[in-house]
Amino acid sequence: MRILENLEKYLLTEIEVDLSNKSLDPNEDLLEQGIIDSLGIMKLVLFLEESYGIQVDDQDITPENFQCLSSMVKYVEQQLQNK
Amino acid sequence: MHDETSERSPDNIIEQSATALSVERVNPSELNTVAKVLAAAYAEDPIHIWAMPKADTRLDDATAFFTFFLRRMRPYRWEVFTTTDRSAVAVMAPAGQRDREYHNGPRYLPTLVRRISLVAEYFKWIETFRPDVHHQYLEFIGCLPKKRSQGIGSLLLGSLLEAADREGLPVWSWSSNPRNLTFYRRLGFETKGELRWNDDIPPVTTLWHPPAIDTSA
Repeated sequence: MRILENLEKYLLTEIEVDLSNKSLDPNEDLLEQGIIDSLGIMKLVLFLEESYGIQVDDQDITPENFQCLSSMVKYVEQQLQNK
Repeated sequence: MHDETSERSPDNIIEQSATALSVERVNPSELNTVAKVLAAAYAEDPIHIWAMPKADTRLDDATAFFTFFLRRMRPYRWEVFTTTDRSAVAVMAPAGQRDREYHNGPRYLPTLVRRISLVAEYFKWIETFRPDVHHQYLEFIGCLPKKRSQGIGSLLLGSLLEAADREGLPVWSWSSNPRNLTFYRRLGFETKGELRWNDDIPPVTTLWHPPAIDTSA
């Protein structure tokens, strides 16, 4: 499964993001919109680490990396390249 | 005594009394296991219920919180202890005064992303009441509900307090669960009064364990 689809599925099912249209714009600002909270960030970090075998360093937990689905996908791809 | 060498698997442990148990540091490979113990232990904690209001996902949410926290606390020198049967777990922050480093610690990392977290703000506020003397901070302690009233929590915390006493260190902590105060007092903690941020959030009681007076000198 593509990273984007995998992440979107996780947000919709596990974090129970409540969206009437059941689809997320990859560039939608999840933080600004309050779609994911602090606990959601923790869950996302654990999900990325476990799904992709990457280590999300403390300094990488930033708004730039977790703002939207696109930025998360970009971050995961970078980490996978650096593995 | 802390047994750092034991590698007993929890699968090998059968029902036993607290007197047969000992306390050891948690191996990094077991952090997921002990995160689940803490999540179950804190299921009825007023602050956790307030912070994680959705009852149907609270256990999973709390497990995620503790897993995230425990995996990331190592660079900050936090230590995790457990009884050999893995039914009780305690997290001790390093000795120090109110720790500047702590406020950049792993529990607060998600707030770097989200601008507002009432829970984090509340925890930070509580921690401003840490005494301005060298002390240890008992961050978390919990016992599996089905293993309570067997002296296991007392064994774990008693062991950590003995170690603090040997170092001459007081221990600071806080609890939002009034039912636990008897437990802490029995182990020598003084309850130092209630902190109430506002009427919507459960108040907490701060706890202080003075170091034993060394009479050997």
